[in-house]
Amino acid sequence: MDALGINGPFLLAQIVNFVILYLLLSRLVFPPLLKMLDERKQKIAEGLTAAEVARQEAEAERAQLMNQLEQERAEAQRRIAAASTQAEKVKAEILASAQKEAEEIKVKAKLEAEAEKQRILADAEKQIAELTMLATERVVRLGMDQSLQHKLIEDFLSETSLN
Amino acid sequence: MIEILAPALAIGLGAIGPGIGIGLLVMGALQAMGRNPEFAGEIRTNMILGIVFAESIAIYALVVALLLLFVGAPGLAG
Amino acid sequence: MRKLFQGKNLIYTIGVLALMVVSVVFIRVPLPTISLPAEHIPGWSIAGFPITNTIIATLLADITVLLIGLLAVRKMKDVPEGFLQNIMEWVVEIFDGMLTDIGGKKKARAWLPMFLTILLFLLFANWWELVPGFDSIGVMEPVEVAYAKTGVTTGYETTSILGMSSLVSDQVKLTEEEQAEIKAEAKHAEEAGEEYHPHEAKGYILIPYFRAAATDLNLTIGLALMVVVLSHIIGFRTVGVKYIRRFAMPVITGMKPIDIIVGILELFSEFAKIISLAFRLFGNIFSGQILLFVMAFLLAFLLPLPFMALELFVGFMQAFVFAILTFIYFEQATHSHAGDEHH
Repeated sequence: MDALGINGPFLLAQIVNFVILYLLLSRLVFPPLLKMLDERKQKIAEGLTAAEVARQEAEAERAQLMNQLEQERAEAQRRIAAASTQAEKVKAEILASAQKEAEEIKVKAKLEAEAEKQRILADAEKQIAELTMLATERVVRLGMDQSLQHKLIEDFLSETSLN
Repeated sequence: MIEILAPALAIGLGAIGPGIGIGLLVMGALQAMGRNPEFAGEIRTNMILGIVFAESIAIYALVVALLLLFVGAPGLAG
Repeated sequence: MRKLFQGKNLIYTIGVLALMVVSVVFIRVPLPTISLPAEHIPGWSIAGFPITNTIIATLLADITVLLIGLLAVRKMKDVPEGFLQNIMEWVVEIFDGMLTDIGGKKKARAWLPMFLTILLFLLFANWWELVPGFDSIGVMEPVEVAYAKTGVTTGYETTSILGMSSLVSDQVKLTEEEQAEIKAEAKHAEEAGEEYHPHEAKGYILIPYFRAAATDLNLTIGLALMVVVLSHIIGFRTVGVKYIRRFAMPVITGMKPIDIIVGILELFSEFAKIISLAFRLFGNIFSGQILLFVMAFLLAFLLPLPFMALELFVGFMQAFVFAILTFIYFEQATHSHAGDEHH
């Protein structure tokens, strides 16, 4: 033992030295360090939970906003749809009325044309009659025989064929 | 003569076992690292710890050699 | 490698090589006298107890650890600013995590201070060894006195460098006649109740003021003893009287006779724990010290550098292994005997 340098008092002194060091360190140094670490860990955990809460809140808000937006969009869609049906209706109405008017105009024009035709025809007949009378007078005045008379009338009629 | 030979034999023979042991240990560790490189750091740490423990056996032999060299053994001359 | 011989690097390379050659030829470092027990520093004592150089190194390590610890917690801030606070928090956090992995949160917190104290104390005790001045500044003692005390036969001649007396590498060996003469004179002086002084010192040996604390078996065995005893106290506290069962007492527990052998093995393993803890640390640091001595002796410059780096690593590793084994022993002691309880 002596040759190895092991001896009681020194051994004891070393143990005592270590115990004193241990007591000093575990009283003065480690508690504040561990406390600091734990506090920081806790703080980080708290921060994380706070962040999580904030995130959830933001998420909820976003969802709400989205919802609102969706609603508004639907409303707008509905309005557009309504307006478009309205417009369709108006268009149909306008079209219908225009068609009716056109029809009326057409009918009126037809009637007018018919009347004009009748009037012209009547006019023509009247003139034909007058002309016939004139021709007859002339034939009579000349005193032509019956056959010539007929031939003249027929010639005249074919010349002035109205039909 | 024997007092010179004794410590030499002590450390010489005592280093054989740990030498083989460390070799095997490193071999295993390297194979493990090759197989899954993602754990290389962890394996390396444990390998070094294992090497230290294996090496300490050689150190015991060294201590015995040093004792023989500087203190002498009872019964040995010198 | 080729770049070493180009341009500016060539000058550096030649310079370093020249320095090495000069050191080999002109600056021969004497191999320090290697002694297993810690040396008593002549003339220093407290209350009759001599002081050894390892005690001084132990106190130095204590002071370092305390200083660093106290400076680290002196101005604690939530957001760490100081280098020391940062590094201490990092250390505490890493090892807290590691111990939690091994033994769970509760045990980790209970024994973290013990773990860290052992780790930091041994770390600085081991690293102080690498500081210049350790093992090289000390008291000159005549080799005759050293022989009378510890049986050293080889001393060195001295010279004066920059006004300080230092050893040179020229060895002085005591012949057998001189040894016998010194023995007789020392015995004579002891009988007369005086301290032995040689008439004329042939050579000197250096007794350094500082020597790595873990190269003293008193420290390593003391710590190992304390750790193992504490682990048993912890075992008794948590497991109760049943803790004795681990050492197989058939008379008390009525276990099978084979358990006697197991118990004896367990009992021996407790002593093996002390021995292995103590000698692992001692052996590593002591052999590291000798390695550095020998390397400096072979070549004073550059050669010891890689070995110093190795010692840095070994110093940390041994401190860590001692501390983690302490924790594991404590942790194991809280389990009751494996055969009794089915987990």
